[in-house]
Amino acid sequence: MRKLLSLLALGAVLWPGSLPLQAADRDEPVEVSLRIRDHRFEPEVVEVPAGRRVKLVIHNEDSTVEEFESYSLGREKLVAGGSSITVFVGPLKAGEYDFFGEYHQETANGRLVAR
Amino acid sequence: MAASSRVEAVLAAALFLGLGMGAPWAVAGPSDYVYPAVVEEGERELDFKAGSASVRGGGHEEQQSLGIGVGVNSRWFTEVYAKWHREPGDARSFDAIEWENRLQLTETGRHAVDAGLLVEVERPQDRSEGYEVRWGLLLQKDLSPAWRANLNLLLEHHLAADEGSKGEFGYQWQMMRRWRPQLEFGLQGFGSTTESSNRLGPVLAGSLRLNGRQKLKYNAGWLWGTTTWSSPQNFRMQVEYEF
Repeated sequence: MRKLLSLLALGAVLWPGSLPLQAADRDEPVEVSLRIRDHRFEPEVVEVPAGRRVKLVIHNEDSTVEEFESYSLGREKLVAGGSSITVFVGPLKAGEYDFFGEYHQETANGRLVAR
Repeated sequence: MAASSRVEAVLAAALFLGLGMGAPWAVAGPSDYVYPAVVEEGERELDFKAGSASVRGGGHEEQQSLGIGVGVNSRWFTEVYAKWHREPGDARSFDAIEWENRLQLTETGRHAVDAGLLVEVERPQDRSEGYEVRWGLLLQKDLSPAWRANLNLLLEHHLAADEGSKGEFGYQWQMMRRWRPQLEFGLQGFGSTTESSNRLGPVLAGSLRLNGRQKLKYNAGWLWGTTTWSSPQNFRMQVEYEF
């Protein structure tokens, strides 16, 4: 019986368009650009639509390494000096999500606002 | 179906199958932890793990390990451990050297499920055991910003051992509620085919920020055996110092 259920689950997942999961995948993330300059995020407050996945593209224009970190978003990612990273988050409920640069926490702070 | 959707469908199917098989799995020691599928580049850590499991028939089995690990890049984390072990009635002794490697296969959050690969090699002090190889698929999903789920499907076997042994399947799962950095809570479970063991119970986790980038991370769980061959009670904990 368990094998039968497993096979049914496999079929359901692989059947084209049969699950909301696959429909959601076709929902391209909203792309938002951020830059780090002089150890600060620009802009510091970013608005994104609630309920959508978000692709943050973070350009570090400083020559030093930084780490994008957000507990509320559950993300932590290193960005070398003079390079870029992408961070995928969401879909987010409406609300505010703080983030910061782990190497320069006194200046590199920002907030994602989902509306 | 787009290529990325197909990848996600296959990963989701693996997750469904893992849950559906209900195999009496496991590959488990008292200090085992749930491997994350995600790797953090630049992370350097000292890692201490310990576990104590009651043994049917009396006494406790204990295991400790001390490791040093590094996130080499955004895809590869590697760690080397020294492990100690104590059987009921015996003295604690050095048990093995272990080399853990986690490879992140998908970009965090990009697909429906984050996937990684574990490849771990252990060289027991008892050379007659040869080499113990553990590998498998690591799956992780943010159900929301607050909830995270993990499911790991593992296979373990011995190479170059004096006695032949069949491969052993195991699973690990965890559901965590992210509340605040210092304190998260959830449930986790471990299982193995060898002795039809299955353990599950509550877990607490968190991290304390020290100076600059330094952090102290912890997680600890109290597990109950749910089958005849499982350890009735198992306490396990892990403390990591990130620098």
